[in-house]
Formats: sequence, structure tokens, C-alpha cells
Amino acid sequence: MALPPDVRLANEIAIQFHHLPRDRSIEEIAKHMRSFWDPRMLRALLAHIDAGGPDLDPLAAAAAEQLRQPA
Amino acid sequence: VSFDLLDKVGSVQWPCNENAPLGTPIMHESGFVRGKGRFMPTNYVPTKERSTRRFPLILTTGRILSQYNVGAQTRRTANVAWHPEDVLEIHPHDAEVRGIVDGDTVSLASRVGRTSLRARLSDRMPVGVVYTTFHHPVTGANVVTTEHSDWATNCPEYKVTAVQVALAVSTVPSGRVAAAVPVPAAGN
Repeated sequence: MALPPDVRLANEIAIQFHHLPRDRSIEEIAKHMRSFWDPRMLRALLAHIDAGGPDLDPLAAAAAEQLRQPA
Repeated sequence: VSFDLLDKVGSVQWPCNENAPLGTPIMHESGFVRGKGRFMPTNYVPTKERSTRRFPLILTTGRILSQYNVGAQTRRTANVAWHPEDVLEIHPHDAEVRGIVDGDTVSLASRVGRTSLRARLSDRMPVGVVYTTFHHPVTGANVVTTEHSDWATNCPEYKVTAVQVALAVSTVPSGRVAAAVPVPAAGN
């Protein structure tokens, strides 16, 4: 089954930063999402995480969590 | 930039500052700020799109010289004489096995959509690859292309779409099909 676009894109962004130490990688992924993602994409990704987050790169998931707005 | 300055000179071009009080009509005359370019290495991310038995061909879309993007400007000019419609360029070998001759209307289907357009036999394309432009919205090229995109810019992946092409409506008299020149097999 095809991944949702935001999950696929998040995974591909994560690939770009896999070579960095974990904390730095998460920071760079979050920076990219914050700079270039439409807020609707981030909301869709966070909804995916809330639903269990299958097939999402753990670094991308951690980065998205950093950008989650406090309720 | 102040309204007073604009009232005096009409218009100024950015940047306009103490070093260039009347603006900068031509930038980078003496060199670029950070050199001629900055290259950033990125990891290769292969496409997720795959050709299969159901969608064995790869569609790539592109532009031609006489039209610009979806043609909102150029289709209103005499340029339409050069490009009155988008056609699907297909290699004669791929066309022959599908019973397609030049000028036939064909269906173009991918995993996400389907459209139809006229086929043009062309050896500009290698076997296995078909090509069309997207200058005429009626063609619906973007109905067929996928949601895949580049990780950094989210630029849609319009160059790699797995598709199948089939004869939709033959516009060619039956006698012409028999008279068509056979496509030479590889090695002949």
C-alpha cells in the first residue's frame, strides 16, 4: 500500500540526515520541515504519528514531535 | 526607498541604500556575493515509482520551444500553429505491439489516472519510454502523473511515471494499417 505523501516525504528527508548523530539529525529534519513545509503537511504527519505512525522513519517522527504545538 | 524618492525618480531597483542611492539596475556587475556557486552534496533517493506488467512503460513529460508551461500565454498566439495539441511520442516498436499507428487516439493510464491523446510514432524516445508535453490543459497530463516529489523542494516527479498505452479509438482507415511500413526488428 502506498504511503501518504507527507510520510513518504518525511522518510526521504530523513535519509538525507541519517549520517549525522541522532540529535543533530533530528534537529536538521525539524529545521527543514519548519522552513519548507506547509502547516497542513505537518498536521497530517502528526495525525499519522497519533494513529501509530506505521512506516515512518523514527528520526522523522522525533523531528515532527519537536514541531508539535502545545495543546 | 521613500515616497519622496519615488516621486523624484519614478522607480528604483533593489537594493537601494547609501551605497546605491538611486538603486541598482544591474546586480552582480563586479562579482557574486559568495562566489559563483555553492554546491551541497545530497544523498541519492531513488524513485518509488516502478514499472510493472500492468504499467510497463515510463512516461516523461516536458516542454517544447514554442509553448510555455500550460500555454496560458502562448496558446493565444500564432505559436499554436507549431504545437496545436499535445501528442504522445512513442517508439515504433512499443506502438506496433499495441496495434498503434501514427495519429491514432490512445489511452494513457497510470496508477493514479487516465487520459487520452493522439499518438506520434517517434524514435526520439527509446523503447519503453513515452513522452508528452503539458501545454494544453485538455490533455490532462497531470491527471496521469503521480504525487511523488523531490524531498528538498517538493517538486513533483514529472519525469518518471509508470504507464500503459492502449489503442483507444482508431482514426485511421483500416486499409492504412495494412499498408504501414513494418518496424524493423533489432539487428535488421
